[in-house]
Amino acid sequence: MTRDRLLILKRVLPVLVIATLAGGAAEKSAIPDIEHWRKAFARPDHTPAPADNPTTPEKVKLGAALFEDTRLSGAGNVSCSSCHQAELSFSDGIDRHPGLDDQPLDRRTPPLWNMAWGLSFFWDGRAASLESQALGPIEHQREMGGDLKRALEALASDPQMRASFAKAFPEDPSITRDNLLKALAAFERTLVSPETRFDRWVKGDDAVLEADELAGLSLFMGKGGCVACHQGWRFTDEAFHDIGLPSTDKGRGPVLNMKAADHAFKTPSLRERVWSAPYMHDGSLATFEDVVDHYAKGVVKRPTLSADLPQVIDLSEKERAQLVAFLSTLSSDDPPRPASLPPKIMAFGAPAQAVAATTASQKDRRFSPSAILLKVGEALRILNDDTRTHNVRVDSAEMNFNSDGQNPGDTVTLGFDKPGHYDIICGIHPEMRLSVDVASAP
Amino acid sequence: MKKRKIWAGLSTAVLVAAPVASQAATVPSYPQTTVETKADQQLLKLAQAHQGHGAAPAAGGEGDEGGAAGENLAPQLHLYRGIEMIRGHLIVGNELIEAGRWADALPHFLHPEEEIYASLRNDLKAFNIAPFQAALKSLSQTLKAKNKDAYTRARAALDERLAAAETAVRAKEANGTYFTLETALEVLQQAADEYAEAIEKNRIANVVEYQDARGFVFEADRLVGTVMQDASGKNADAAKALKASLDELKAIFPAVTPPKQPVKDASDFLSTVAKFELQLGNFR
Repeated sequence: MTRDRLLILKRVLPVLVIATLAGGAAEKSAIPDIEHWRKAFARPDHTPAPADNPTTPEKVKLGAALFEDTRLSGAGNVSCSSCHQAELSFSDGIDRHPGLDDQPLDRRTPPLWNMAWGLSFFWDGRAASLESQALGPIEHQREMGGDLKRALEALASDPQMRASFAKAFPEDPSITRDNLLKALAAFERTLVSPETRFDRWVKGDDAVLEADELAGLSLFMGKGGCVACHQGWRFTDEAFHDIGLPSTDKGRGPVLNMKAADHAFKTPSLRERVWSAPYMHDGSLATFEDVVDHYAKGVVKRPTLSADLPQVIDLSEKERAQLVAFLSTLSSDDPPRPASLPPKIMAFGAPAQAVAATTASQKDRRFSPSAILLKVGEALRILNDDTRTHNVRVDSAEMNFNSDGQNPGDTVTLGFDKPGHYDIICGIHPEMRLSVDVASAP
Repeated sequence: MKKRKIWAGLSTAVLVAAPVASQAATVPSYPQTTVETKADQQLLKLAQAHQGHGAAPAAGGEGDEGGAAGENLAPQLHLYRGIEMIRGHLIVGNELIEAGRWADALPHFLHPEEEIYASLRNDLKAFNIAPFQAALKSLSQTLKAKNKDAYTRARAALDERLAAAETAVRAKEANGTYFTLETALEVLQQAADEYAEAIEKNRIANVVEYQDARGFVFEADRLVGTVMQDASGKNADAAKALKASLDELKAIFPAVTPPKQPVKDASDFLSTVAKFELQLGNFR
């Protein structure tokens, strides 16, 4: 081989290597040092909790109840879940939630997945623990406008709350500020995002990711430079970076009183992000495509820009699509529901005293049994033991009922006070029909 | 007995009735929907029937909307029909949300993903159109959360995806007007199926199917509106007749909540759809 040819080869080879990495080859070899990355992205085997606030079922149950409790707010009409809605990945689906003054809050409501592993909290990291973070929104004048002292008094006058606190904190059975914040934090630590297709790839299932997704992974770790900040199984380095968003919010800088940290915000985790748009601290980017476009061509150049941000991210349209395809593998295929949330029970009629004559299943998109005989005063319990959302609906002169969305695990109980024939359908799958004949009591 | 409507052109009537062992075993407890052909429907020699309501749903989870009814269509027509049916669901779902009826609206946001999207997946790939399943699911979540602001944002995101998909499909069609009208016809035929499913013993027994049909009719009307100017330029009388058919169909759905008695029976509905179909040849 001549020297000239060697020189040409020397120039061409790196290009070929990059092309292979980004080009979508589905083979193992497309990802360099695959076993290293599998270890780097492996999920932990347990959820951490601080020594002074171990997670117990009683504490979690209390925390879940407090999370929904509007008595923590000043006007008694806002709870943590007003912004952190379970259905929306414990966020709110909009750029910035309206505050109590009806003006948008300064920053986006962050989703609450995997907070147990967080090192600091809020977009600017001003809280050092989940316990201290929990107090922030409660007392913030534009968020919940609460007065914790008064809220504790209200809770203390509720016998059920007193019992719940006593169960959760047997060593200190009182309704105190610390116990309230510990219970809220304990609940939040149970919000762990489920395994996704990417986790199956990490475990060694090579076939689970498609070629474009693998190509996106290569870009994520290579040309895109994303892994510089989005590290580990949660895809965050827990650090603060200015990524060049055109926002005047100074972020971390004022917290540290350090100009070099101006415009820097905590690297958000990329887990379950398909279900928690829009993105960034100000919710200014609506889609994954917008996020990738920002890095490729929207970065505002300024002295505080993160050193971890590549100077130039030159991605073709196809490569951007591949990156987006990969990001989607970090989310569940369906909006996830944490195991710590109990199933819902919806009721109609007078089932409290009634005896459940039978239970109907909704497995595989059919009511089973499909015809039921009851007596007046009896109740029917309809359990969603299927994998999809169902609904229980009756449209008749004697009964008009619509259960709303019935997620897997939820139960609807119908009490029948009048004799007659009732046709029950699933409004979502109207081909699912259940016939109920209610006979007069003897 | 499983029956299926077959559209074999306006001058042909076909009624297929085939015994289905699995359905026989489940013994439908509801009368099967049958449609009598009326004297004024000579043009429309067709027959319609549907699965008995007591029958087990199709294995695999695909409803009729996205599945069998459109499976023989050309890919671009199949895809466009699917997108417009999704839009039809969104129309009626949005009406219910505006009325504060979140629970009633939810099926109309879950159906597109559960019953239509899967049948479009291959078409989307073939036309190199970005997938939008996550956008559909995200939108449904906002219904479950009953969060109007989140709904508005998620709806805008989905609308953007649907518009991009429509643009991509239409770009491949030389005669956009005819293609649009052809799609509208397909959507109306699906509306006829839904409407027939909604009626039992001369009453609207299934509110959700009635609302599906309403959404499809209003979407077909919107769709035709987008090409009406061009259609009128090509054949003003035929365009007027199209509009008259659509007005007739819209009058069958006075409100999102169904009337106690159907305004028209299922055969009248089909007859009006046939009038629409008759005009299509004028725009080839």
